[in-house]
Amino acid sequence: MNGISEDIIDYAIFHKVRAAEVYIENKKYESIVYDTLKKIKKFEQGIGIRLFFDDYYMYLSFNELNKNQILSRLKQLFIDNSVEANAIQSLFTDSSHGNVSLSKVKFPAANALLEEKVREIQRQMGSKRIQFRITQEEKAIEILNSNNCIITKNHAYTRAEGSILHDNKYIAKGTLGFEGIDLNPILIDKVMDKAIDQLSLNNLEKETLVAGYYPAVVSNGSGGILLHEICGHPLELHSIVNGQSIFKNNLNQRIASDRVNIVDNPLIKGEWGSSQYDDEGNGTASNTLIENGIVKNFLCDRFNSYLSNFQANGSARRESYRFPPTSRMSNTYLLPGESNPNEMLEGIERGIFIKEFTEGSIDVATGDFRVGIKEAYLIENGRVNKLLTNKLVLGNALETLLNLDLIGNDFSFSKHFCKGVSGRIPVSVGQPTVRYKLLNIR
Amino acid sequence: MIFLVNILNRTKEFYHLASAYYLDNFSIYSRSIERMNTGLREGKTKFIHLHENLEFTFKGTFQNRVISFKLQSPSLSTFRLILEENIQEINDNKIRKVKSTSTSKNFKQIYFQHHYSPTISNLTIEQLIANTNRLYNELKDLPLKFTQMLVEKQTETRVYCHSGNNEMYVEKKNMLFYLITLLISTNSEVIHVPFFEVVDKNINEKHWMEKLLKKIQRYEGLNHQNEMVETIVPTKVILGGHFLTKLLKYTYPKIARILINRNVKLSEEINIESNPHIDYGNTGTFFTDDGELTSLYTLVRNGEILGETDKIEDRLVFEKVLRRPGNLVIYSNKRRTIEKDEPYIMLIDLSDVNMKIDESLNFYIKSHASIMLNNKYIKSIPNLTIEGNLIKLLQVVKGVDLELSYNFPDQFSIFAPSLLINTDFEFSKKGLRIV
Repeated sequence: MNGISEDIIDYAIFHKVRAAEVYIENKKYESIVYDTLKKIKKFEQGIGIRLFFDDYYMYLSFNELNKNQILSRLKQLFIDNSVEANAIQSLFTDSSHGNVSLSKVKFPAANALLEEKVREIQRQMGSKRIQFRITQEEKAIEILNSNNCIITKNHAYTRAEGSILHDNKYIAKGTLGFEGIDLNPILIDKVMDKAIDQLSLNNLEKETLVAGYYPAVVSNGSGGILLHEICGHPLELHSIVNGQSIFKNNLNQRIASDRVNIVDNPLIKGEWGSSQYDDEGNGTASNTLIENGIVKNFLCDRFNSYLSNFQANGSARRESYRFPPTSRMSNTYLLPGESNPNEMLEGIERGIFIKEFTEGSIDVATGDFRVGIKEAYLIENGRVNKLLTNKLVLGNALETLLNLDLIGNDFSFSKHFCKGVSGRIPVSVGQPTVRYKLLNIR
Repeated sequence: MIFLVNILNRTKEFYHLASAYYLDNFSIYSRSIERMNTGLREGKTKFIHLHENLEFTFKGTFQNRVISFKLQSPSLSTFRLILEENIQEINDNKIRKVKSTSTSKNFKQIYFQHHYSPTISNLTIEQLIANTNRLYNELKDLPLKFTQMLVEKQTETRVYCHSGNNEMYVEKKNMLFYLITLLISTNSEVIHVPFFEVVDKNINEKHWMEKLLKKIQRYEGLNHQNEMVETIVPTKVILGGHFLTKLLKYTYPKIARILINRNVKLSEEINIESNPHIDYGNTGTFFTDDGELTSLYTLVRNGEILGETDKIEDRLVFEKVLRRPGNLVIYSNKRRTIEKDEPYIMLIDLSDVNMKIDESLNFYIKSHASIMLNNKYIKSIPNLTIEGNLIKLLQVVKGVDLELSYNFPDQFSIFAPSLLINTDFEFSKKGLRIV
């Protein structure tokens, strides 16, 4: 990087900042729709600089990597902010432009195999129109901090979306995410199978549960979105430090049954939250958040660790150089138990089987959450029955965790995006099939 | 000024480079955005942010095929790389020999600076911090908590040029705004109310701060859970400006389609303009990203949808504006009046992001509300369930407030006053049903 990061850190340290960190990113994004071949291409490069003072931080981001300009902006800010304003003219002589090189991979213009595959499915679907969208992002990142730690890392992910349209209206959709950017026609089959499954639901008999509390069995994979909301977000250190989290006083206390073990682990290969280093340049680790129902740890970033008595544990993440990092989740999951998923339905007279969630949100201050239902079925006398039209689970984190009573042995992961103060980041959630004694269904 | 020079020079460099290839035609739309903010988050974390970004959108045709990409970096070498990659895709992996382009094009620069204030531009970080502290001191004694308190200065420059002519449009604008999130604890719930306020450049700071405090204090009413007076029964409903702007924004462009296709007649009190030149929220523009000059356009006058013309061109312009408006402004000449001692429900702000609104704009939503009497809060009702139809509500408006509310700017802003509704309604513990 032609020394741009080092010079910025040196300049900041000379001005007596407590610590400094420089994050440089180069990103390619491409989205292709395989019926119109419409493309969206974006290319982005930028630098994020974070300077730590006693109880506050300063964050600067630029997408012009011109060292002279950046240093002169820093100098101006230090003067404005009444930080000691010694000019270091010697630093203002070089005019290098840095460039974190992205790996040489070119996104395919239009993958001929995929095009052919889409045409084949289109023929099978008759009058219905097929649309297949591939969205890919690849990033190269360099992080340097004032502890002289320098790391470089790459991230790449693909999201595939298959849609079926009739009279130009979307009637079914299937999505799938995977790590990396290598495309494979088998992928289309998988995504389109999901869309066709979705289409077949339109013809099923449907029922609506009257809003209220019902016993619920939640399927593996995307079912983990609920635990991501109710366990993950309240255990992010920025919420704890600011006194907002419902779990702020629960360290080493029981909040769930002793069967519940929840882990955040970025070291698992092939998931969307996987990385050897976090976005502050710290090495990552598997962090056990809840062990046998007891809160054991928080997700800690460096700034909030400084403001509290906790150690940073490699959990700082951000969407891009435009956002200062903060404590966020990576791959968060509930460890499998011993129950047989099929046996979980036994004894439920009238309840709900949730096959897939859409997305969720939580107010960490109160623990009140909401999670959208994508697909759910009525359970009647221990058997899965009609498709339900209910679309929402509401509740409170503490209450819901205490209701989690059975944990299956059929663990799987699912890939999603998570929005937060440091932007929209790819994450994985995971769990086996579980049973809640009661969930509030709307 | 460094930024303006940067974006102009870089756009010209990109233009010059693109001219060297045998493109049929092309345009470059570029923006520089500088954001500087200071603030408090969740009551404790203090921060100072500075973001400077340059972005470029290239659109062109080569052998009658479209080339389009967005570059969020001012790197000339990256621009060349991407452009050549696109040309190769069309031209069997070959780059045709470039033309000789020894001279740069002499652009006639046309400036639009109506939304630019040097006073805002000259604000330093120190002054922004002072503003945050002043705001904090003014608000600290109120019985309200804030999860976020932020003061931000934004400066934006937009540039457009096309290979077909010699004109280069340059628009320069800036704004100062406050973004505050209130945290209101009632007996049973905690509510977050985002509050976005743009500083009006035409009034002095003291008046402006008083105006801001007055607006924030309105929300204080939501704390007054203990002042319930069960005997007071509201007889009128007022759709608050914030409530309305959010609901309209949420239903766009569905509402535009319904208005066009069904030729709906709204209340006589309602006028709606698409005004891309309005100086609030940074959404106003004098030219589009396709280089088209914008203008003010009346969409609804005295409740009548305009654009009912036999001339197909006029009709198409109308539909285009309605579907992609500048900023939408709702106004009226008739002030709403509430009789003295007449209690009413004021719908303050939408509270639920998971709103249910169907194709005909029947809605089942939640809003914070207050029962008011003689302009005073009598009882607050967080997350009140409301049922009705948005089109029907706009047909029974019986007077409006002069003051306009607006939402956080993204594609466009909606500016709406509070509207007094003249229709029957049912109000019970279950919620409000406006029939």
